[in-house]
Amino acid sequence: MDKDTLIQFKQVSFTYEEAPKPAVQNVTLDVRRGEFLAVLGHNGSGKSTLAKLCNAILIPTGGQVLVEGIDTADEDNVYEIRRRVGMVFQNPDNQIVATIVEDDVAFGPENLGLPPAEIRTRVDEALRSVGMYDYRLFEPHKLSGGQKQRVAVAGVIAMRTDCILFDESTAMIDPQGRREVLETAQRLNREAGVTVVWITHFMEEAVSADRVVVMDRGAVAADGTPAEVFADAALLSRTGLEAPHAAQLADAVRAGGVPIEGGALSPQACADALFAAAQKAGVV
Amino acid sequence: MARLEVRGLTHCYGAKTAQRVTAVKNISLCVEEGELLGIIGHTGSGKSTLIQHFNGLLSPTSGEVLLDGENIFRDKQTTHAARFRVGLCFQYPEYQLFEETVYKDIAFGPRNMKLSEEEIDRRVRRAASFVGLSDALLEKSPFDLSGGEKRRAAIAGVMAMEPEILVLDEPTAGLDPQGRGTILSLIADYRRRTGSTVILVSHSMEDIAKLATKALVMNHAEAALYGTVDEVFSQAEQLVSMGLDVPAVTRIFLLLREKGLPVRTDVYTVEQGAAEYLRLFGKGARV
Repeated sequence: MDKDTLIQFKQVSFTYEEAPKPAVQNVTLDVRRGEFLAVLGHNGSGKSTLAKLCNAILIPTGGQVLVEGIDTADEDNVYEIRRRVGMVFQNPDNQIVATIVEDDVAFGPENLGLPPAEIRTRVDEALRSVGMYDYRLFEPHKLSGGQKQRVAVAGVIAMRTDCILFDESTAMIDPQGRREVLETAQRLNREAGVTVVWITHFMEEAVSADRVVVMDRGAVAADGTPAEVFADAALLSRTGLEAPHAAQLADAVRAGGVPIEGGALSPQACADALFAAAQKAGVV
Repeated sequence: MARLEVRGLTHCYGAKTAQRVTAVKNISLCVEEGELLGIIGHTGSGKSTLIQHFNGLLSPTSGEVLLDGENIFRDKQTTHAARFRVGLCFQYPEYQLFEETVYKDIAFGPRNMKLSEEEIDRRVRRAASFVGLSDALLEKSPFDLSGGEKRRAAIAGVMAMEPEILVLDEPTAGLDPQGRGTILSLIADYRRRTGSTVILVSHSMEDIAKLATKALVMNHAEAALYGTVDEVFSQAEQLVSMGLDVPAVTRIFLLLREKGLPVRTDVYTVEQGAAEYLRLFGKGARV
């Protein structure tokens, strides 16, 4: 396995007990070290199953998942795998175990059996990096959804994993909380080199990813840059997704006879392109 | 006369303790028969506290809630009656499904109203048709349904009480684009078919823009903006400053205006946006 590959899926299938058909079928995929990978797909497309296969929460019923070359199927490896790949789940209320924020963040490092001084350092660093240090003595139930998710992220950071999976971690929180959690993930990726696998059904959240994988009926339906994936209208409609509204607006304007350049995926990029076209046509 | 009127409503949690928190502060509003009021605001702005007063689940620290001009807190009986007159569907209502079959779950509310079996049956089937659940699904366990179906079954349970006012708290939260679209169109359809008054709580300005006649924006427990959808959404800059999620198309037009293009900023959908932009070129939108 080449050293740039962190997680490797080799023809992986997974069928839940008593399910009539597999949730993930024959998936071959690499997660590269240091990348921000967005995984899109509608409900039931297999994207959450894919995430749970990454850190041995689920074990493939066919094929193999390797994390830095370590096979997730071997029970003895679970500890080594979870030290490398951490996960933030969808519901902020389901993953907080302690009654004080800093105790919650310390839960993982304590289980690693680290000395108390080391735990203290890691907890403080982790809370600072998600902007929750001032809340370290708060009771988690008094926090907003976005704040709770950032505490959950801090819990994973304190484990110093190479990779963090976000399994629809923004689906249950409000727009402001969503921005907070996404920006935290982007900063960790950019500044600390943490590999991020970002699973979502909000198209807007995938726009600034390095790479986008689209899941459909348990298989990989597309794998490319956001610009490539969102330009493929047939793929999007086939997989029950829709392009970001900015891209749809650019398309509608093109259909109206005004040429707009570029993918125009984000509101800023779209506004820039629309303005440039208006200037070019001399209507400003 | 207004169907629902709220006058100067204030609600404090822990009013008699040191941790007193004012969750709703001096809110007044008025919903006419058949209207759809959208309530927007970020988490903690007081939306959920406010709507729990509409059917008497919470009683105000001060202020009044009037149904057809009558204060619902006048006496116990009136408060009790308000529970059935105003149907409240909470966030993630599928977590409250508990019966053996979908049918029994939807029938739970009507049964509590002590209606006849025939009437219960009529209401269950009618509500199921509103949310697009087939007869075959009614005999299944609610736990065998998909996420979207569970959500719809739970909403049907409130609709089956045939409330005069249906209040939905974040009915599309956590659903994918298809699931969101399904729920929104069933709400529109329910209103068209029953003429009922609906109150919709949402984070999404896009959802409110599509469905509502009136909008209330809550910020820090207070009414920041209140009026028709167009009046409220014409204040897009103010909504952005409150940390609300302004539709992507609206954000694009705010940016274009900033750059000096003479465009309107009260556009929310892709279709409206394309038409408004193409207007600059003297073209009608062919979309």
